Amino acid sequence: MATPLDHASTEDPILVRAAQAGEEAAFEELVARHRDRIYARAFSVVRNEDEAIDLSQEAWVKGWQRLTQFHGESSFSTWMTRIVINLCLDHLRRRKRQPTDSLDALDEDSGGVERYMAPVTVNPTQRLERGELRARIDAALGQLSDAHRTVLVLHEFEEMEYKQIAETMGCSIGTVMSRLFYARRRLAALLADLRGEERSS
Amino acid sequence: MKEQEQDLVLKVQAFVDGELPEPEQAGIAALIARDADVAALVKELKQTRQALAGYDEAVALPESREFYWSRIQRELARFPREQPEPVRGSLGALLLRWLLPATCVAALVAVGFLFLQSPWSAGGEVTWQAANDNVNAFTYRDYEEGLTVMWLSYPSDNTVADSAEAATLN
Repeated sequence: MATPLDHASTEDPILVRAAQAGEEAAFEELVARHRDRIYARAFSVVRNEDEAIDLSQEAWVKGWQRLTQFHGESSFSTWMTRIVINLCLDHLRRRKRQPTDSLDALDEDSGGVERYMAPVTVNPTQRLERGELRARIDAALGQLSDAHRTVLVLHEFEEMEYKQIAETMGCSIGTVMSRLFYARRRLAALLADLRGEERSS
Repeated sequence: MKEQEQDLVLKVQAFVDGELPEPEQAGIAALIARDADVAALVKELKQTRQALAGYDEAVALPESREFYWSRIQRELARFPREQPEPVRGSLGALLLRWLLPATCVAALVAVGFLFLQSPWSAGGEVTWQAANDNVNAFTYRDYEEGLTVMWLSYPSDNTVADSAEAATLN
């Protein structure tokens, strides 16, 4: 008789194989282990806590259904992250476009003021505590359009190359480069503004 | 001019990201070294990257493990995992169609050969023949022992191939 798995001390690949064979408890352990990362990725893209929870849970259900298609080409968490990103992109496509998105797109098409803005010379995040920095980045990311934020997230957090981002988002590499540049410059400006606002208050 | 500037700043960014093609790298590096504005842009791009590094590591799901899992578990029950469809022309189908009948024929030949070599066939009058033109039935007669044995083989592969069940595999 086979010895039952001690899930908490079992490595991912073994848990994955058990889950592929239908062992739900193994899958639960995988969920517990990687839920923060999957949720964080959903939240960084959609910027809404409830939507991020729903999308991350949907991703786990899809992951379970497609688990037999996972052959270990990447780590399990990377594979799950790709699933949640695709769900988030579908969600954003379905979501009604906000008027600010149209303006952002217009800015991007015409080059955007940030393209010609003088670089931020002082590091706006210098000497900030981690929590403070995170709150500030949170606020700045929230002001980017979905398209610009998503490119930034895929590049900076997922460490995807331009080509991979273009494939994931269904756009050209040129568009990816342009959006990434715009997003970074705007983020730098927003972080500087936020710091300026704090100083004046 | 503006378009050229746009191309240039995107190349500078690609340089920072390590995605600029090698032949262009030296040119952009030289530009950064001699142009203070471009150097300032590079510094800003790097600062932004640094600021974002590790940002989402501290993000935690605002729900307990049990509560979060319970909803997933309900959905797993509602949408069970799909079983892969049998592939046409699969190994199983090939076995059924060709290998099994061929094995039966080979087994019959082997059994017949053994009988012809066995002590049963030593002395006495023995015949070994196909019962009819159809090779699926064989008869062994030993007149001395008064023994008659008949073998009926597995249905021919045509029977399997022509059956309705086999037709669904095509």
